[in-house]
Amino acid sequence: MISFFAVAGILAIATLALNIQWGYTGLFNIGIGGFMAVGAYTAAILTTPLSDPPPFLPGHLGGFDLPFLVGILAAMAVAGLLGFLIALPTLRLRADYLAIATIGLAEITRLYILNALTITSGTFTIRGLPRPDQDVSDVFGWLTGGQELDVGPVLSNLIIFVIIVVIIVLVYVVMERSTRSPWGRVLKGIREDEDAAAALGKNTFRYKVQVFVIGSMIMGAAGALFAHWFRVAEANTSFVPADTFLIWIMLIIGGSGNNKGAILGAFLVWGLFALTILFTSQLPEFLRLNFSFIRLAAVGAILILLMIYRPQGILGEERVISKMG
Amino acid sequence: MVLQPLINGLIFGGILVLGAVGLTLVYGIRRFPNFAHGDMMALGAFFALSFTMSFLTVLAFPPELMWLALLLAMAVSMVLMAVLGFVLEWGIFRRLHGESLVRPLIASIGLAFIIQNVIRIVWGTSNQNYGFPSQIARSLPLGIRLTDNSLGILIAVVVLVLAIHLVLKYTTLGKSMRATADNWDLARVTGIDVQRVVYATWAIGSALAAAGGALLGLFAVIRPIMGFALLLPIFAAVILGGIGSPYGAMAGGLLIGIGQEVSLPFLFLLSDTSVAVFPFLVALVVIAGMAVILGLWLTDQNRPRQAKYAYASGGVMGALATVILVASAVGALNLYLPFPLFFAMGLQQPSAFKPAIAFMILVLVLLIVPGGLAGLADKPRFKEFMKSVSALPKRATAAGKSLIGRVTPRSK
Repeated sequence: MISFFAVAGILAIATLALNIQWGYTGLFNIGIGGFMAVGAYTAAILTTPLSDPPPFLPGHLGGFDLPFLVGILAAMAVAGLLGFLIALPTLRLRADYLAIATIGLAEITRLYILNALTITSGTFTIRGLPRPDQDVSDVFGWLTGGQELDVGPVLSNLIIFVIIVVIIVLVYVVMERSTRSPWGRVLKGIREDEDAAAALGKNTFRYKVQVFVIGSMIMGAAGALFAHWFRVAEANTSFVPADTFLIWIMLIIGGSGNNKGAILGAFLVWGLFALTILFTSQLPEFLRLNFSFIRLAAVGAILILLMIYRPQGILGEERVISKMG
Repeated sequence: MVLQPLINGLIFGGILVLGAVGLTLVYGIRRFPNFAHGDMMALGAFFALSFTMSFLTVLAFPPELMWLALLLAMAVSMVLMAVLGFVLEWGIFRRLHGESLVRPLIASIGLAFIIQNVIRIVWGTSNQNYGFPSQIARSLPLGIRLTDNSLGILIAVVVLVLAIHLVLKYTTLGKSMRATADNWDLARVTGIDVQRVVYATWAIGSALAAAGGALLGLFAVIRPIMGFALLLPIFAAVILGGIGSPYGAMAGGLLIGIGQEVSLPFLFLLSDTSVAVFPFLVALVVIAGMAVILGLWLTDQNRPRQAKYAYASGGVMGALATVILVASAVGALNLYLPFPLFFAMGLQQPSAFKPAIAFMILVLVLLIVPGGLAGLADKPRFKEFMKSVSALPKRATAAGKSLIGRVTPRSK
């Protein structure tokens, strides 16, 4: 159960990040998986302790054994840098160019990760990521003056879960505050009519780059948390395009331009996704064998139906009325 | 040996051309990028596969006539996909026509998911092929080796591209397609049934996609996920050619295909040399040079032939000069720095990294000429720049001559 809420929470962080990019500013990023993968592998390389490589493998870059927080911050930095690099050529152009560039970036990132044997150990994944247990027990010891904190598996789950919740709340509060600020109003202006915003003297390109980099950084953090939660960084089955569009569905169902909706959408969609696993075993054989494919096809069908019948999502956009005086 | 990657690139590029022309036609008229196009190519390939098999078994084609069975299957697959394209526009994309390109775009992604997973459910997840007996490549002059399959692909691509050219240039439908792509409202005002044109465009684009997918099955194996892998190169081709320009897409497809195959040896170098990024740069510069040359060649139709050759030599000179400059700079830095400037990228399987080339070209195009090759025609400043670059060798020789003339006394 805690596993469900932790993963849903991580996805909610990524959905919030997409919300500031797409929901508020209208930047069409369909490379979320790529940014998350970069975050995950950055954290994995920096925080994993040194270990002997498996037989016949050269071993990957890493073994730095740095603290959890350093890993998260570095993941944000690297994902943000990647976002900055892709934002420069594409954000001056129409939305479709950004879409093509980001989906390409995500795929190339994944291809590189799966191929760079000496850096990411390719398809063999980086295992043994630490949870923030040691860091927490260090802080505990420092606070209580030398007492030992024995972190078992339950407490370990709880610690990282609390960290996820704290990050969700943090991202939510910062976003709510910033999107109601003059800065946030410029973002909505860009989304509604970029020419008008530019005519009012706003450097829309700069705002768009800022938003894109901030969103990418949060996605990087989400990816790092994902890797820490499962104690493995792998790009064989995770961070694929399907994951990106799962996050898109979460945002669209929750209602883009609505932070509460983004979180609600993440928990709702992940809940449905998890529920389907429960009754899989009762299905006839044909359906059971092809279950994951049917589910992905259903994801596609839901996207199409949402676009035709309810593009604004369940909650729709939250109306924000500026207070006078 | 040297020309072999070029030929392979030409074959793969020809297949990309078929995908890219269909994509760019729909993109130009419907004004949204169809992310399901790659998966439509995959579906076309699987249709062709199934029909080839059933023609061979049910209609008892003798094995010698296997290519005929494939040809028939390809035709059936094209017809089926044309109908599917019509149905998609009628059922989905007609309802999403409007100001925003995002709604049809997201719907096309959903469609890609559906097609990809239907393929996995119906045909399974393993790689398949037409089961042609393995062929001995025939040797041609200049060390080129070509199998019958590759030759067949080239012929099919040429025939289809010619057909598209004739349709676009000489039929009423083709003319109304170009008019609608140029200006939707104006086309409607002049009495063109725009919706009918859109249906026709979907049908033609999907049929071309089916042909491309079916031919790819001759060049490589047919994989259920090949649609997604194709997406990046065809989008790169469309953007390189300029969105909505079928002739640009043809040039773009060939360039991307050749670029990917030509840089493959460099990608292999990437896996273990310490100055690995350097050959990569070389490949990129050469490709960019080629693109510029071809772009000018295509867009300046009014220039005399000599001027075109001057441009071409200018482009090659520029690319070579850049390569030499970059090479010496990197070499010098690596000699004198205590650490290598570039890390080896350590690629496990370099050929799997090929789409990265297409992506690099795509980003370069977006940075330099977002309008693509077709957009170059509208850039007088760029043309002036290229003219001055191409005049450089002439000016250099002139300067050299005058210098030599000054130093050596004129003999009588």
